[in-house]
Amino acid sequence: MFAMAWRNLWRQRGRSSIMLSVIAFTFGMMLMTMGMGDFMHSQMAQSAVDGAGGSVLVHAEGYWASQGAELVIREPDPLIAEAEQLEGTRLVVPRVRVYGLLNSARGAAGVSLMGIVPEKEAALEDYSRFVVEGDYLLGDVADPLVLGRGVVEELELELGDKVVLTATDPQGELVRALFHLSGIVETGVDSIDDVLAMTSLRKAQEALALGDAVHQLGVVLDDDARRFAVRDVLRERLGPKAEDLGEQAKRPSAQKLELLTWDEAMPEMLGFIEIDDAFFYVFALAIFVVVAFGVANTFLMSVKQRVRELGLLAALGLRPAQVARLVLFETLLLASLSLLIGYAIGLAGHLLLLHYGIDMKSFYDADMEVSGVALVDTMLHSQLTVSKWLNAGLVLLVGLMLSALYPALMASRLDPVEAMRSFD
Amino acid sequence: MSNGRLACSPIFLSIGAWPVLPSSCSFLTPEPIEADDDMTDKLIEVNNLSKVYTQGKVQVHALRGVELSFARGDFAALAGPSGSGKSTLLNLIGCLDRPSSGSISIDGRVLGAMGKSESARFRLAKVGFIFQAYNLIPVLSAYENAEFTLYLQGVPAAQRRARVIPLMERVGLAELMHRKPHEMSGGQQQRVAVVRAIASMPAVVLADEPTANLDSESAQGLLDLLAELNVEHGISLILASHDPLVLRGVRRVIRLRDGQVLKDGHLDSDHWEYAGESATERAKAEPGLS
Repeated sequence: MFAMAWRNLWRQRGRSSIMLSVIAFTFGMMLMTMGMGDFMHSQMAQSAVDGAGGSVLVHAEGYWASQGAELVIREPDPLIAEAEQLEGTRLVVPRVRVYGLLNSARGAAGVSLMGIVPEKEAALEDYSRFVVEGDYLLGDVADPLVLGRGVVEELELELGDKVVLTATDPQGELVRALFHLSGIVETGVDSIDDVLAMTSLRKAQEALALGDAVHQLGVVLDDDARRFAVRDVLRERLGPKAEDLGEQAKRPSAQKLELLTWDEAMPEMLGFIEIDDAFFYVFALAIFVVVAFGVANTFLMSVKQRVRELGLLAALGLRPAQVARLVLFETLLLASLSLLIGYAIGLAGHLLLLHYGIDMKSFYDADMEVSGVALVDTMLHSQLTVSKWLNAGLVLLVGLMLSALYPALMASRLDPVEAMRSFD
Repeated sequence: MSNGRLACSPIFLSIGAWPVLPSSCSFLTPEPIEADDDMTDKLIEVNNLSKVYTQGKVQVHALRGVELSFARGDFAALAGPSGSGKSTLLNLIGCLDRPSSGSISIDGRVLGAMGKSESARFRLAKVGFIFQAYNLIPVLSAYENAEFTLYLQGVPAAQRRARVIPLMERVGLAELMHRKPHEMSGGQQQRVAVVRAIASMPAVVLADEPTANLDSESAQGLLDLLAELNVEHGISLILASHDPLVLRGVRRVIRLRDGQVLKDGHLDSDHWEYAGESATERAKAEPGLS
């Protein structure tokens, strides 16, 4: 029966070829679009992790909402040790984060200062690759400060120039600290380059009279998908919670902490990804429906053209269900072949994008920023998510088979007498 | 269940374009797919059969109270002008249509109350069809067409080959088995249709105007082949036709007019015997039979 269905399919070679091409090309393009979307979402998520400072963020309670300089983790070392013991933790990145005013001899500019451990930060966004002048906190400059190109231009600075940072210490007092410009970075994203200021963690702690305290510990995971599980374990271990006060002595830290995954910290980013995904699925569904109607039309025409022949098959003893099955077999073959070719097109596109990519800057000149996280890498590649690709094929296959139900039902209801009468 | 077996090598003689076997040679053993225990002579019984079609607001009485019976091994023709009801009767006997009233039984099984699927199963097991326009399946080769009903019956491929290839050789198509229908002449296609109809050894083969699209030589060849299959293997054949060639070639002619049986004649030795009909009436009624 399969052989007959296969040959029936190719009786109208032109029609079947066109239908096959439409399905295969549409499906292939859809896979490529999905691949690019997945890559972009993955990159956005990675940028969010990099920007936030890790998959799971540990702060003093209330810090993330207020960004208050006084909300510090007073004893970070035991917490770091605890977090680093967790399975799947690659490393823990400490950060000091404050907003301040930077003064030079020629002006003042608001900056977002980060005190970092450069070696650890490299596991997130490695800003050393954007250094266009000077060093990246690794040279011999005393009180080093790396600034974004925008800040440097605003303050008309040159390497080695002195600048004074005014910020708030944990006690709420204004403090001033002297820095020397040691490096200039240019990411190409204005929202970063216009406010970025980085120094070593130790220097930031000294400047802000923090002692060993930090504002944030970022837990970098081998697999970001495990962030919720890690957050829960950490929440349990790092406590303390209000109701656990009696247990505080056993905890590595005796202060209230907040633990957030990056998407909890940046819900807009997750929302953007989900909305973007939803738009894609609506778009895909619309195309699937159009293709399904095309297939239904093709097989409806095919059945109408073969009324006598299908009636003959019924006269010879083919049961109604078998007649319907014949039409469904034809659809199954067309759909399967189309999907295979579609997968080949999608895979070829995926490999091309993976290798060459598309520079989104050429389409979109402004900064690419979502939820305060700028996409530094503007090259768009593709990401193959096997389960999503297989599901897409399955959905299309089921849709096409459903679209063939009506023609199949029509075929099964043909009266064999018509075949006989036709030749009376 | 077993397939037919070769009892002798086919030695073809030719009548017109149609190869035939000497009547003494029987290589096709008629072992039906589903043998019936009931071996009475009566194969088909038609009782008070009527069929009314509704066309718009008009009711057309295609058959009116037809009473007939066919014995096993009958070789009969339904004759009559267009609209006389012969195709309708053939459709009803073939379980392709349902009677408005009356009954038909084949091999002891009463038709009419069966659903579509059951009818299809019955046709597959009991009835072979030969159509005017051959009606081969265009995407299948001659061999695949010939074995189609066996395939539908679920007969294994080896058994299908063992049964169909000798038949294809028997009808002179051994060299054309892999050709598609459109690569064959009308006569060749009709021979494939004959093999398809008889391959499963049905209780009865129904042929609707089987010679209408054939030239006289091919038509004669087809009739000779059907006659031989009927004589040699006891295959029951009912043909609907108004072709004099057919009516001369069968052993029984049932004349229909306006949905009723007008005459039912048997070939008795060299003469047609019609109850209560003079030779003149017979000649008028059917010149081909005089």
